[in-house]
Amino acid sequence: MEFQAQTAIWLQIARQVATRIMAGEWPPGERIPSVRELAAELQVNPNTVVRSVTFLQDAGIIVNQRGIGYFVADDGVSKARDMRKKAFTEELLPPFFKTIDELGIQWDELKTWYQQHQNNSKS
Amino acid sequence: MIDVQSMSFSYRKNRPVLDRINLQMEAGGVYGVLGANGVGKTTLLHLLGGLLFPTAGNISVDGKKPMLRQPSFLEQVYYVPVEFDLPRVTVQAYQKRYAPFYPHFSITSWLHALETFRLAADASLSDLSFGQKKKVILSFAIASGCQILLFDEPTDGLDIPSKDSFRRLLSARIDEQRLAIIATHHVHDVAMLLDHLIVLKAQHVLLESSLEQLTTHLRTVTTVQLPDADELLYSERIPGGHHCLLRNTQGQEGPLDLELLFKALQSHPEIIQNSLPYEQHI
Repeated sequence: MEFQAQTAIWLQIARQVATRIMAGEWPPGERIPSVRELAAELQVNPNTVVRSVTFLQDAGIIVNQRGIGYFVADDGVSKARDMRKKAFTEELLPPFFKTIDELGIQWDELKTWYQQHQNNSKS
Repeated sequence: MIDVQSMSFSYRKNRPVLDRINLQMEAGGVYGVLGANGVGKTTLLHLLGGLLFPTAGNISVDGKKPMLRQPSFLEQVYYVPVEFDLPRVTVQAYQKRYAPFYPHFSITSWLHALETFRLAADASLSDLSFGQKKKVILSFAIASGCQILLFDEPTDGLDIPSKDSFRRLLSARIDEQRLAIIATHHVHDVAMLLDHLIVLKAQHVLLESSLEQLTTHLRTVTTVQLPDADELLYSERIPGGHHCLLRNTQGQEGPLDLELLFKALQSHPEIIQNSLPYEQHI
């Protein structure tokens, strides 16, 4: 698997798991794969996944049931969305705004493109 | 688990390959050993495995001296060399012949590895290509149950899907009791498995660090324009702009391209002293 290069791997894995939770791959209350299973799937060091999982637990997205594994929290989906949103506003928006300024793009133009994009995804 | 104290080795008198090096490695870790050709990576693996004896200094592996080659040491160490000769027997016969030397050998892991690598147990080793033979040896290593796994260029000769398989198999075998050491030039092949990095240069250990430490203090980015000279440690041109090694001042771990770090260290070894807080011996 290729990892996008702008953040640490453990954080990329945490975000990927959050994305999969948002997509409903593991609904609230369901067990997510173990550290070992995730590590093998992603071909990374299990210690890296331990950090990702700890991070998701601290964010309240998953909960640990001792001896059994990690489960998606009841409000895990909205917490996962919060986490992704925070990353988006902090990391993707600044360079996006910078490019907009550089190219002198107006809000109206952006709005038109966004509407086009929405129409395209509908059809 | 491994303690190397002021250890030197030379093949010829007064021409040390390794000169009074110190290394500590802990169980549970996956250590990458990088270094230019001929710098002594394979020699180091041979010394740790008891295939060569230090000229001076000491090596302790799990409390034992490799050079004594005690059975209790040998049954816990498996070494995958770059090149090897295998007997003219079938894959299955090979396992039957050598597995008894390893009391923790797991048949289940062995069969699983063969299946993952798509190797047939009844194939004759003499009919297999280099890459397929390598996969047999890697399967054996993974199934051996040894506490210490030494890999010299494990991905050499493997096709692309097989590299995936190797990473998946090894990842599943990493645990708190086991130590894996991977010497390689193909750092991209194994970067995601490593949690420690050792860089050898000119008879010495240039860098020994956990990746967590490294990524706290260093990061790599790809940029269109060169970043501030203040942060910038090393860069190279790529089609879209620059691939840069930077001091990490962001307060959180960043991505780190180990290949770029290695290149930077070859031409600018002083980078380490200038950007890492802990003492490194150059």
